[in-house]
Formats: sequence, C-alpha cells, structure tokens
Amino acid sequence: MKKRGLIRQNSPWMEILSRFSRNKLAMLGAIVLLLLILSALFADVLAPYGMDDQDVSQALQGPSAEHWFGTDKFGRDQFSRVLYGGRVSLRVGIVAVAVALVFGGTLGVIAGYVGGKVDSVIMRIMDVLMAVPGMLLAVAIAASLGAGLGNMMIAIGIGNVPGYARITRAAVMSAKGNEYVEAARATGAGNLRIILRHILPNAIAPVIVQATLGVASSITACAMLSFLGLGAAPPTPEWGGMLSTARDYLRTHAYMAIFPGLFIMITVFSLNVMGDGLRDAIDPRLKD
Amino acid sequence: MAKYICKRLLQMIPVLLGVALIVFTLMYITPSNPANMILGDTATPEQVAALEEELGLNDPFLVQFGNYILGIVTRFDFGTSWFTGKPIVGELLLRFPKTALLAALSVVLSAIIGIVCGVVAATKQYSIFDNLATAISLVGVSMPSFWLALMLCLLFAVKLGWLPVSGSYGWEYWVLPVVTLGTSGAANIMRMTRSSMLEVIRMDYIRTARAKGQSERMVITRHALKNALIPVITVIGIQFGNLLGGSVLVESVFAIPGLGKYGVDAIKQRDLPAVLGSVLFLAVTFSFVNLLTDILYSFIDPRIQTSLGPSRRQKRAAAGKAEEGAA
Repeated sequence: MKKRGLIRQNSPWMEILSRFSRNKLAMLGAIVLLLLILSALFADVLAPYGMDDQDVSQALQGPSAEHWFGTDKFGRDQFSRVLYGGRVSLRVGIVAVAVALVFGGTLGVIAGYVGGKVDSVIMRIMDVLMAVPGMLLAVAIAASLGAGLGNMMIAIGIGNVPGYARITRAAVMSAKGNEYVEAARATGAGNLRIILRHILPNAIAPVIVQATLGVASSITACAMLSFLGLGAAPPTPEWGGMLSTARDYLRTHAYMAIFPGLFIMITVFSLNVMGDGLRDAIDPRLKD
Repeated sequence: MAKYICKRLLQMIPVLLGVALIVFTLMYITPSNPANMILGDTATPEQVAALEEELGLNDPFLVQFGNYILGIVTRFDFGTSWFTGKPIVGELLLRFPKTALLAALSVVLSAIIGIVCGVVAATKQYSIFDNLATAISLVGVSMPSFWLALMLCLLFAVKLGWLPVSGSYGWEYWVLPVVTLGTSGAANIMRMTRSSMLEVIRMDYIRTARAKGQSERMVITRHALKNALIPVITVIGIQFGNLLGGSVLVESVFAIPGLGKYGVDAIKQRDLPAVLGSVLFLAVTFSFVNLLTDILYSFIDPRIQTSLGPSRRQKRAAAGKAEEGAA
C-alpha cells in the first residue's frame, strides 16, 4: 500500500501485472501453465516416442526408466501420449472459450448497450440455455452432432455462451453509465466507436477472469466428453480418452489411470489459481 | 408466498418450452435417420419410407415439435427408444429416484462440509486450518469428478477392499459415489462461504453485536452466518446443477442404474430420443431445484419475503457473485 504513489504513475494494466506478479500462487500457476503449453507445443521434440508408436512386446508395462508413465495395451508410451494429449486438451479448452466469448460476448454487449426489449429477449434466451446445466448441454449437443474434436469444441462452447453473455452484459451496463461515455457521445462518436474504444476496454477485466477460469472448466468438459466416447477419434491421444481406456485396467494396471488424470488436474489447477490471481489483481477490493 | 410460487411456476413454462425446443432441434439436426436406426441395415427403402411416414418424420419441423410437446404435456410421452422400442418415460421414472438420491446425498454432504469449513476458515483467517482448507478446496475444484471416482475406486475398492466398486444394493455402495460428487461441491461451497463470511464479518452490525457483549458464537451463527448464506445458497443451487451433470459420469463409473447412466448408455447406442429425454428430464429437475433455492432465499432473508421474492436485479447480483465464487 505504501508504494501506491509510485505505482499510480503506471498504466492500469501495468498496475494489474505488478499486483499479479506479487501473488505467489498465481505466479506458480502461470509458470506451470507455461510449461504445460511448451511441453504440448514441443511434444514432437520432447516425447521419447511417437504418439502412436506401437510395440506389442512392451504392452502393459509399468512405469520404468524407458517408459516413465508405463505403456498401454498396444505398447504405446504413455508419457509421450500424455504430452501429445496436452495439445488436444489445451486446444479444445482455448477454442471452446473463444467460441463462447465471441457469441456470448457479442450478445452480452448488445444486451447491455442497447437495453430495453432487445436486452429482455436476449437474456430470456440465455435463461433458457442456463436452465440446462452446462455439462449436460454439452453432452446433448455432442451426442447429436456426433463424436469428433470440432463438434466437441462447439458443444462445450455453446454450453458456456450464457455465462459470458451475462458477465459481459453486466460489465457493459456498469461501464455505460460513466461520464466518459457521455463525453464521447457529446463529441459525436458513433455507437460502434463508443463500444469498441470506450466501453470494452473498461469492461473487459471481469471477462478475462471468466475466460481464464473458462479454459479450465472447458478442459474438464473436454476430458469428460472424451471419457464418454464423444471426443477425439482414436488413435489421437486425449487425457479423458486415455482415462476411459485405463478404466478397464484399473485392477491390474492402475498407473494408466493416474498420470493422465494428474495432468488434467495440474492444468485445471494452474488455470484456476491464475484466474483467481487475475481477479484479485484486477479488483483488489475483492481480495479478502 | 403462494402467489410468488405460482408466478415462478408460470415463468418456468416458457423456459422449459425453450429447453424442449433446443433438445428437439438437436434431435432434428442429427445426421442419423431414426427409421434406419430402428429398422437396422437389412430394411428395404420402402420399409424405411413407411416408418418415416408413421413417425411423422416428413412433417414440417414445427409440426413435429408441436407433436413432441403435445405428447409430453398430454400423455407424458417422451418418445420411444430407438434401441429397445419401449417408451422412454417409463425408463426415466424408474431410474430417476437413484439419481435424485445420489444428488441429494451429495448436496447435503457438500453443504455440511463446505459451510462448516468455510465458517471456521473465515473466523480463523490465515490460520493453519484456513490455509489447509483453502489449499484442499483448490485441489478439490480442479479435480475432474470421474478421475476422482477412479482414484477412490483404486484406493478403497481395489487396494484396501473396504468398499464395493459398482452397483447400488446397500448403503456401502453409495459411499464412494456420494464422496466423489460431494468433493467438488464441498470445495466450491467452502470457498463461497469463506469469502462471503469474510465480507459480512467486517460489517458494522457485527461490530455492534460484539460491542453489546454477545457471545462470539451467537455473533457468528446469528448475525454473520445468516447474512452470509444468501450467495452460498445460490452456489448450492448451481452445485446441484453441476451434480446432475456430474452424475452422468459418476453413475457410469460406479454402475449405478440412474438417469445419468441411462443417458450414457443411450449415447453409446446412438439412441437419441433416450439421450435427449434424459437431458430434458434432468433440466426439468434442475429448474425445480432453482425454484426451491429461490423460495429458500425468502426464508433466510425476510427482506425478500416482504417483497414477494427477490427482484431480478437482486437475484442477478447474487447469482453473479455466486458464479464468480463458483468459477
């Protein structure tokens, strides 16, 4: 608090960044997440085996120096598959949130900015979507569209739309009432300009927090749909799909179920603490 | 109060119609042809065409949707399973009690653990208990429920042999599923209770209560907890929805013959009316639970009761806050 006078000279975003960097747990989350992203990006280089290299003579081996996480029934190296699986999970998580952000965000901005009847109609539609728990909606959509990565991203994305619509709407509504918006209008700025230049930058903070946490929940949803057989088609490695296979070997080869789940948990955990840290950094009043 | 409940019940009608429309549209756009699915690969094109006509698949979309709704409203008919040819509603009703019991037990467990831990953590902020509980709750929210299910199975059923893995015959079969589903709920509820309590504890009326010499216990339970509970109840309502979603997986891991397992089996058989019937059924349940949470608000907060239910703005604010906490 004493440093306030110094920090105030920085831009609001710098201030947020400096508060965020002082939150040890959130920084840990950010570093772990960065490592996970890098390991997924460079899976080709890091993985000791290919993602679908089969060696039946090595089937169902426990963890060893050669196969850190053991092998599955085709003798595929589980460590390599977990690394490659990160690509799928992170991609689905990010794309699903992007889908939800684009649709939910646009609807929320329109509802919050225009207000009146348009607002009621949009929000009633969102109420309908919210009447179905997000996971269930995703399951229903994925089941109807059929298995596959693309369909899964759409399914999870649509399930998330109402959440973003509500948050963006609330943020836009509170930003709309500010005097600088009135001032912008007085200088003759059009609606689109007001929204893009004046309202969005001031309304985006809660949306960013929600998006970070949203990637976490989308990764869980992705694993869940794959676990149900609605995800990526084999042999594409995916954490949820690997767990689904591991289920049949729980009694005899438990290691198969441990590592993919551990990676899901670590990813979701680091995104969650990062999201919490961002929220505290953006709005220090919310911090306990 | 009765007027408020009636009003809310009436408001549910358009929402549920909307849900039904979504569900029906999903069924409509699916690439597989029901007539082919029912008759199998050996059917002749004539047979397929005849069945399509019989099922009304050639009618316009709105006519089909109207018939679907009319079937549900007048005959409580959710359609017929493509796989067994039996009416879906019978199967759903048969399985519903198991899912309801599972969800109810998990909600109760998570509410008790979540609220108690949340209150203790907030009253002893930054103590060892607080830090430990916060850390555990962070892990709890981050753990996918089906993985936790597998790990609990591994530990308590496979390694230790204390509890059975699958089925639903006696109380011991319910322990692992309830703990699995209750964990993330308890974590979320604890986080919300803690932050809500911390906010309330700093209020002037708490200082007043302490100043007038009331025991700490009374201050916490009477003055603080009662006021802190409103966002917590919202979270519990949201948790119930998550539980219904989570039950889909947990039931199939533990082989509990509930709605969720029925839905998953239906997905595997590509039995779409059964999938969507169970989703619709769970959505209706969720809507009733939401109504119930709103009624609960008014019991806890008399200010709401006098105005016959929270205004939209109040509710949005509470829900927004709760979502932030839940997320």
